[in-house]
Amino acid sequence: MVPPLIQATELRKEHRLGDATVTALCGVSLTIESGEFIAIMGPSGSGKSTLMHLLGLLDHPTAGSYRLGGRDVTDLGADERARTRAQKIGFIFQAFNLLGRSTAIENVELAMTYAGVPRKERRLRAVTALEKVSLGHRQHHWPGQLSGGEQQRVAIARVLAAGPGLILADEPTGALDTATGREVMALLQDLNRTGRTIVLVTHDPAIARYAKRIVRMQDGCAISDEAVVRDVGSDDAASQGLACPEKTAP
Amino acid sequence: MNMAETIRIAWRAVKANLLRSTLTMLGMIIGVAALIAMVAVGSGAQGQIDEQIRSLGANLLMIQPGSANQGGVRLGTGSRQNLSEEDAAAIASEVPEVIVAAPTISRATQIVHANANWSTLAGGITPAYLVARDWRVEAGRGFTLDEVETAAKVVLVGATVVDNLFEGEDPLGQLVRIANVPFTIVGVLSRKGQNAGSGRDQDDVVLIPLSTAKLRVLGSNKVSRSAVDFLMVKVVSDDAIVSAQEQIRRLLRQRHRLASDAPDDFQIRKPSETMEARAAATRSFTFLLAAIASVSLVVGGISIMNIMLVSVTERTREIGLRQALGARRRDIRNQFLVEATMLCLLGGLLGVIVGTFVAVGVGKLAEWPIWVSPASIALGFVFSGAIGVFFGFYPAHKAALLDPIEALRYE
Repeated sequence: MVPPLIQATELRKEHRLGDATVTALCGVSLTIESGEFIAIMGPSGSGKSTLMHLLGLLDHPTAGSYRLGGRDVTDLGADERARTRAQKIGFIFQAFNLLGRSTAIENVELAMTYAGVPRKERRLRAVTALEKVSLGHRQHHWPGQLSGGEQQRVAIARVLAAGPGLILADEPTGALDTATGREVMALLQDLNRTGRTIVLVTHDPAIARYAKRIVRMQDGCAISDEAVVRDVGSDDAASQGLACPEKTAP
Repeated sequence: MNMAETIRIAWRAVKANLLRSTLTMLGMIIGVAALIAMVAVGSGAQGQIDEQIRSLGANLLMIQPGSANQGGVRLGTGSRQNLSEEDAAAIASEVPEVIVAAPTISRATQIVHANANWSTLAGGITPAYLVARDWRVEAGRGFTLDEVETAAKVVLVGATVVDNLFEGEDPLGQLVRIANVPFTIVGVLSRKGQNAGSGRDQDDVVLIPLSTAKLRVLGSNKVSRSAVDFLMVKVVSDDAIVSAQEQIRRLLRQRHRLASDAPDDFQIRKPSETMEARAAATRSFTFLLAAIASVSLVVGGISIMNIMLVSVTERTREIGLRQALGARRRDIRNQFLVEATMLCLLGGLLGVIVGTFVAVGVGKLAEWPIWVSPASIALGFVFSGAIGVFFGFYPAHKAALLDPIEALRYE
């Protein structure tokens, strides 16, 4: 049997603030199968970002265990975690996080640099990825010359080219207007359809509806975990919902 | 990630911030330029002294008679006449380190050509003298052994004498009179310049065969026909000088039949001694200059560390992103380390160029001898690279230790 892509058991994260200990995550268990599109929802401070950092191996838990692709990665050293991030995980950030002094194509190549992809292949895959996000003509533009939506598409191309199985998107539409946000979400859906697992962190219910499954969080704990029920043509419904959330609210 | 990749990333960062990179490099440029220029001035001066030492004749020993004692009045070094041509021959044949030993006499004399005359020093020499002093005959020829044996009336003239007696005329084959004896000029000596020790013009001289000098010009000696004023001894190498000196001393004591408690009746000197002391002083001076310049290099290194620290703070988000994309701590550290080293090496390269120009310019303006040595260029390079690694390490280390989450959140 294929093990689940993500198997988090009782993940707990505490921060020390002086003498006090703040619990950011109270023991979250979560299993995500390969190919899922899951949204983690919750207000700010609910622990969703902390959970994403743990899943993205940017941090390690205070307690609990985390298996990624069947492998226990709970206590990996910094270098091993970096290697795993480079090969298996792609990040999409709210603030795009492109290097301002590198061109679009250089930004796309960056992730592959750390994954150890040879230079020529990097260039090839970067071009293909940029074309996929319809930015083939913007390869040599600086991030400053691109609109927010275009920048986020470059960031998506960066993930796409590196080709990790798991994509963690932290409020990817948070800095975009709704129409642009919709384009970005459509791209993420495309990525999901090609077999990539997407974990989307958002506080926006309309955005969360693009996912197939929603985990709600509050005060560091997961309070619900349910599949998204859709009507026929649910994608359309979801995108309309993004544009006018109140109309599609049940 | 491999080094080539890291270098490419660092190069991109240096290029992306061209103005700041240049300003950062300025410290290194000035430091290395100062090092190159100062060492060039120092080595130039040193080279000049070495040249003067060579003009005396390298690895040269001069043996003079000791002091004569006339009725209780001691007449000083050289006043005795107890060194002979045989002594010279014995030294040459019995001391293995000795290349040649040249018996020589010299007197001040007046030399006349047509209606010009000039007071100069006349030396009675054997061909060995020219070998000992590394003195070339520039035009014409030296003496033949036959001329020395037959006391031929031939003369070699120094450049200063030529300047004063023959205005633009070719001196070769001309007749001159030394102490009223007519001589034919067979050769002109190459120019040696001023003796840096005594300040005497070494080219103000005429050289005639030793035999001729004794028989016809300077008069023969009262004590012995073979007595000479001094011996010039050339030793194979600088290292052999001390040993040769000791052997010559023992040989001469033996030849002069000195009792074991009697003092030496001769004196062995190394003419280049005072200049070697000067050369040593110049060397220390060069080191001092290099040390001062190195201080500015270190200051340059500190300024690079400053900028790199600022740069790490400024690029915190970039570091966070790179970490998220899979950069290991050492990738981040290497990136900043290579960037700092690259700045230093580029600064070093520009510094070498600037320093060379400055050195040449100063040399032209001040008319100083300048020598930009490959060693100083290599030193400047190695030093700037080392400074880059040394001062780049702390900022790079700081960057590598950043927490990815904090770094990504950094505003």
